[in-house]
Amino acid sequence: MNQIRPTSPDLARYRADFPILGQTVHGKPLVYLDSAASAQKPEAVIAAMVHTMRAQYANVHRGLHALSEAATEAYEQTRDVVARFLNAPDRAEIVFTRNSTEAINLVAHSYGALLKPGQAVLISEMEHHANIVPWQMLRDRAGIALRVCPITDAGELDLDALEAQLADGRVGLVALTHMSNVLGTITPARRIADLAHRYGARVLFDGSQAVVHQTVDVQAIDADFYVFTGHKLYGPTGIGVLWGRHALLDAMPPFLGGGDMIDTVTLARATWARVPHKFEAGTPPIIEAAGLTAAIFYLQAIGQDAIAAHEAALTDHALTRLAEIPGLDVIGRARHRGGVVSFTLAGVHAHDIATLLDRQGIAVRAGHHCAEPLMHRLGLGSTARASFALYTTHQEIDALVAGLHRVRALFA
Amino acid sequence: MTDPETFYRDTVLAHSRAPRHAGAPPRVDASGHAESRLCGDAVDVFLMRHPDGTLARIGHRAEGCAISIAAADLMAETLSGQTDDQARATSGAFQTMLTSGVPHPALPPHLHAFAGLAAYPARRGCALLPWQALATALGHGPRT
Ligand SMILES: Cc1ncc(COP(=O)(O)O)c(C=O)c1O
Repeated sequence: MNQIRPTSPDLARYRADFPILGQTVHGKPLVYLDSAASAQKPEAVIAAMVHTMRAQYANVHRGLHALSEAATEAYEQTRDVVARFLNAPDRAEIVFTRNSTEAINLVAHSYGALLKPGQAVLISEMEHHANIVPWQMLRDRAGIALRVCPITDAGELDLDALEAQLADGRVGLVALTHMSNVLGTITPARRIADLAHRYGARVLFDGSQAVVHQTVDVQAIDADFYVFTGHKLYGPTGIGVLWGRHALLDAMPPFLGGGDMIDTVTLARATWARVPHKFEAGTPPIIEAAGLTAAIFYLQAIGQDAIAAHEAALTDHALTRLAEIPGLDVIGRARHRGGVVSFTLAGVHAHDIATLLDRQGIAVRAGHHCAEPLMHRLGLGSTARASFALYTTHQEIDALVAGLHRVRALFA
Repeated sequence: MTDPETFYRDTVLAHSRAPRHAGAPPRVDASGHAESRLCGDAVDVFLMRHPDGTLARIGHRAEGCAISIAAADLMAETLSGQTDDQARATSGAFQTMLTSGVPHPALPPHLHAFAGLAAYPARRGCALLPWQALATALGHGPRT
């Protein structure tokens, strides 16, 4: 890459905040290059969750006692924190879910209920299964067409094709990744939103990967829905976020029914609570919300721009070093990309790469990365993937490269 | 497990690079197919029988990782001359070994190295894939 990137600020001191990274695996120091699947957790997140359980745990929104009030306040504070994190105009637009997958299913169910037969949802060839299957289910249930925007060979969205698919005005919702978990491609969210809106469509971004690697401002990109998942953001599993414009959330029917999401219930019927509570049926992820707040505070204390610069430098380093390995092909050459690098090695299946690297303490992902249609588009069965986080070091990338040379030598 | 590099060098690569039983035998009396959802690997197994019904030749077409290809080739080598019931018993012993991690006395030594995969649950499926294809092939074939 001939682009000049800022030098990596030294984030090495933050590595010590992640207790798990001190481990050895098979007697080798752990080199964790699988953060795109799930990121490790800093002490601050662990401590916040433990503190919640030790000191201020009770159910929320229903107790009249001190502990419940404290727990409710902490849980609702997470909504404020997430609203500011995404620059959402209104805290009531933040809905907590279990993960990105559930957030997308919520939109497919509840916004999908507002779409009319004959309308379409538009996704792309590089979506995670989480942003494909809910729409296929909607298609099969409600007679909504599903359109697929192609990607270029470089792994970027084909914006001309996107516009062509929008042109007849039948697309009600465009649902696209904001960053590919396989190719690392960062999609031009604002341009996509402008195109969608020009043709009368709403737009949802799957920000599962994007929020981890860059500052996201839902107003600046003019999104209508935005989803992400806590565990990739150095937070806990079991909590995800849906942001949606208030008017849209308000018009949508509930997703799951039960406690907390109602206003009044008789045996004959129920009326719904206001947003966001309408979409939060049952006891929410109270402990996980404390962890998510801590994770966001942690990122903001380091500085999201500093993290982005660090990861850009790591990615450049990885692309340069990986290019030294004969037979290695990096999959995806998007101009704007984040810290996820997929590759194949001639004559060596990705699973064999992963097993042999694991023996050297190096954790990478191998397989189809929950994006089978993308693999099909690329004509690949599987790839290996290294992904970077704020705690990743240049030495770890060098260890990966050395490990890959060793794998090659074995197969030579 | 013994060091996986040793396992790869001595067993996996020895049989995946130039598999001796790749391709269909001249006559295919039964065949079976298996696929891994996890990685898209696919294996076809072809059986050619002697007139008495025992397995004369086993061929495979394996598309996938080195472990699945080596497992297919060694399976083919092991099973020739066996009856269907013997092949089923061999298959059962192989599966047991992959779970227990202990080399199985009923299996020929060239399969023993696979016992190490017990420590790699995610890779066990790769080694079992050809045996799954075999089960389908045997299910369709005449019994001896
Ligand atoms: C781009 C993308 N979308 C969606 C998901 C699903 O996230 P989760 O499994 O937390 O719902 C992932 C991660 O697996 C992802 O990388």
